[in-house]
Amino acid sequence: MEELLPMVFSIRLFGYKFDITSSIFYQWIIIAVLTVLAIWATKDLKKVPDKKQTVVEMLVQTFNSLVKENMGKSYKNFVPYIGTLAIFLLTMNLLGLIGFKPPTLDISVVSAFALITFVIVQANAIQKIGVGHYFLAYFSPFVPMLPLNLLERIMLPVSLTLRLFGNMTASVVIVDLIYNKLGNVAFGLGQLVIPIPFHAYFDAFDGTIQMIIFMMLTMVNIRIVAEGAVD
Amino acid sequence: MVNIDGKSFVSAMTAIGAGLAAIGCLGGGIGTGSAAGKAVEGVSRQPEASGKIIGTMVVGAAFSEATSIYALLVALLLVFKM
Repeated sequence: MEELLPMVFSIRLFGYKFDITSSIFYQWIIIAVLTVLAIWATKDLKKVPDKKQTVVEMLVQTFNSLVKENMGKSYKNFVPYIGTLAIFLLTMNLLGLIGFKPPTLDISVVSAFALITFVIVQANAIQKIGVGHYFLAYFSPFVPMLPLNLLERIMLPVSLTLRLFGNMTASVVIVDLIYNKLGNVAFGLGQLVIPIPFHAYFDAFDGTIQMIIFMMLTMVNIRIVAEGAVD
Repeated sequence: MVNIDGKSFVSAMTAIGAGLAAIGCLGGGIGTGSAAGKAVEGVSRQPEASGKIIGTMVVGAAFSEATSIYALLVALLLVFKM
């Protein structure tokens, strides 16, 4: 079968040789489109909102309430990070609906997100409880628990990466199989209508659920690592 | 024994290995079903909390899917890389 990972799209030289793969190219396009959309949506804000501003305010209110419910009131300055993560990941996952290979198919992209989350979790813990307490927490409650605690901390980004990457790979492989096999039916006419419910389940539903899970795990871990396991 | 050349032997063993690895997807089904069962029980006791219960059920089901996705990944890697 053909290669799963995206092929190298273009190669440019800035003194060194950088390979711009297709996933980086799609991400640049998404960043440009989202930036233009954001600037257009918040152009002139008034005190009494009109229709466009109401929609934007609803979106912000959703993220505010989500963060407040899962992390508590004192974490209000995490809303921009969680919101950006959600919108960016959702757009990348849903790119498979248009026919391009979603950038989350590339394991480097997904592990970059997981690494950013990992660094934020540890940095927030160090800021809230101090460096000494943070290293002491690895040895609690018994000293021989050190390898288990280390393993648990490292398993978080690993499991985030594998979960998102595995789900997107499975979706793309199955949809590709469906299109390939339907190409033999009635000279290609079979590819017109039949794959639509499969697309709806594998691309739209799966992509959305995986984004929600990533966001929830990030939020819960930021709170738990800093404060210990709260109910 | 019949002489099998090395390459087709490796391909055959890879196929058997991929099939065996995909048995790990059992665990995901059991976990999701258990989570859904407890969610249905919870909703039947307190229909007002059904929104929160369903949200929690979705999160729990996705966690248990992750383990079965690991098994699927092993099978896919075997088939596509060797």
